[in-house]
Amino acid sequence: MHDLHRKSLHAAVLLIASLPILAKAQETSLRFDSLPPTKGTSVGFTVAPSGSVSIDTLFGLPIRDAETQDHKYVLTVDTGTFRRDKYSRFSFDAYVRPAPPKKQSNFQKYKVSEDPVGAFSDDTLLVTFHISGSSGQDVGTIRLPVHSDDGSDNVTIAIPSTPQKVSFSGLSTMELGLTNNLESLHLNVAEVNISSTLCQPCWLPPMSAKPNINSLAPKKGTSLIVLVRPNMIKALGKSLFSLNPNTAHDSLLISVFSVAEQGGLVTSQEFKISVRFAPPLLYLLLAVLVGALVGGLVRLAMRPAPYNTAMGSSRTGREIFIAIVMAVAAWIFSIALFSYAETRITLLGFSLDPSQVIPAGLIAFLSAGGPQVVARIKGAFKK
Amino acid sequence: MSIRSSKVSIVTNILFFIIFMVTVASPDRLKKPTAVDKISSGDLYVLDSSGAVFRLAPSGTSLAVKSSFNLPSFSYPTDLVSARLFTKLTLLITTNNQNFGFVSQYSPDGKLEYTWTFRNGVAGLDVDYDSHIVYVASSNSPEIYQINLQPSTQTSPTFTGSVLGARQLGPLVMDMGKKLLFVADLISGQIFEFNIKTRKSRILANNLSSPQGLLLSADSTLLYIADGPRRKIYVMDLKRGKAIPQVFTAVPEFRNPSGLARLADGRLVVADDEAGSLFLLSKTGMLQSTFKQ
Repeated sequence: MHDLHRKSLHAAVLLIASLPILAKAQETSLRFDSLPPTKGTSVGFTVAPSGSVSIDTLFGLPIRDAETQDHKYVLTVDTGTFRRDKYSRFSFDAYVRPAPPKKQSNFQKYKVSEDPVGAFSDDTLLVTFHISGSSGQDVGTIRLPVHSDDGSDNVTIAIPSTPQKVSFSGLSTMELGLTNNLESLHLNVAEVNISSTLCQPCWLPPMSAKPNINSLAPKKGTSLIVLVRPNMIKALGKSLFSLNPNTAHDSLLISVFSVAEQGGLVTSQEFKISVRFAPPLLYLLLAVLVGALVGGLVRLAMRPAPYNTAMGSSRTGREIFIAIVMAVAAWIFSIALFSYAETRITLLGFSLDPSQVIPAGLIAFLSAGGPQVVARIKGAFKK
Repeated sequence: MSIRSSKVSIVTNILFFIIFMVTVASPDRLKKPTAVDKISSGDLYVLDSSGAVFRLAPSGTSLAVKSSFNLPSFSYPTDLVSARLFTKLTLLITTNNQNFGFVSQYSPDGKLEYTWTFRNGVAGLDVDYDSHIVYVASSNSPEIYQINLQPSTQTSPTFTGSVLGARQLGPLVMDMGKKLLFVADLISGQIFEFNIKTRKSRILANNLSSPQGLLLSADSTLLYIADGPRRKIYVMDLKRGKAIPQVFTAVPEFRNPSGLARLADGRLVVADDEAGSLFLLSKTGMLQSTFKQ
């Protein structure tokens, strides 16, 4: 009896001595595996315990649950807490509870922060987590957003391969395709700015670029409407002696500020679009008429028109009229070839854009001048 | 009758205009205060993560917004310090935008006076207002930089030293008397002491979670630490060689205490971005009032 009493006392002492160990064993711990979103990049996770909370705390919150493989625990992520903290670290609140829930069991709360390395596109990826606690260890996976702190190629703009034509006169509109590159995250286009890189005075404010829709679903696109109004005099000056049709008169810089949902950083991307100023039809006709007139007169000066004895006058007027008609026809033909058949117009070894003032006048001048003028100019060049 | 009605109309229009202007010009509400600072004889300046700076006047146990201004768009504000430099009150604010960090100098009414650009991100900052040097913690590497504000010197940031063993620096505070910097590691939860003269650092405290804000007492003998994830304010007695952070206060309303400031009478102001509030604490850590807009 005495021995039994001593044994029970011994057992009680052992039990009391082991209580702290048991209590320690009941503490849960949470850990996430690092993952590489792309080759050479990584996202690590820092988990900080934030006390225990009652089950009521989670009521009504936007949560995402993941049960561990052996059904020992449930990891709950409060998706409403996806945010940037004071030091711009992406963080969120996570909770761990036993599965199935024990009576009046509390959740262990954690603050989880991501530490990304390298530049990669923001995404949601499956992340492996490990929980150890009173029920032992277990592992599970949960889909979490991962964001790069070094920039993410959130959007692309469909930039035309050839320079875009912008008319001197009035407002010009360009419609460009804007696409969300992200695989699984919505994107908010926060702001789009546009500016000139080569000739800011060539444009009248305000220049604007606005997407049709600001919130883009993954891999979806919208139109980016660019509204610009050239400063006619400056644009004319810039384009007057730019004869090569492949040379841009200016390059517009489009800066897109976008942010991925669920805690992305605002990312700025820059795109350049080449433009050529296109004069209005009236300017071109004027240039063609002046060129034809000068060309016709030069031709007549080189070889005067024969005297019409019947009419009692020279045929100068008729010759000039024919020269003008020929010049206009040649210019229209060259415009049609250039615009629709994408044919290069080469005069005297120079590739010309007949939709520009000087080239249009030059085409008209040479057409009206005829072979004599062309031969004389060629001769001058050879000298 | 018509004269009276026209007068009423004019008065109504003026009132409408005043209300409209006040509405348009009125600052955004304080939404997520992350950092807070105050010089001994001045107002309280609060940095909101929405990108606004608020000037508040403490009065008894209440705080009242006096003015505010907005920071440039698309910058992530991190920390703020106010100081009287060359007899002029100045605000210095760290912000981040993608890979670049910025320290901007503002007048109290929000006029941007100067910006220094860092090729890496920036975190906490403090200013030695005697020698006019700003110390800035880098957030991408465990390094400390300084900006000399003396008019005769070049004002580009220069490397001061590395905090060995740190992973990602966060808040920084300076003991001007001993020329020491105290800086916290957001990932490891350690507090480091950095000696400006010797440029050597040592671990001062372990076992914190992720310290978001630091504050020295007026006599620089106590270091207050805002531990966001643990929702607690710790205090360390710096007079003791190996001090262990003790819980100073754990107000149940805390969600993520992230900024600390001291009023002239020794009371503390805690900025909590997740609670969207400022908490006014007594010298012993008792909650006196909560300011929320």
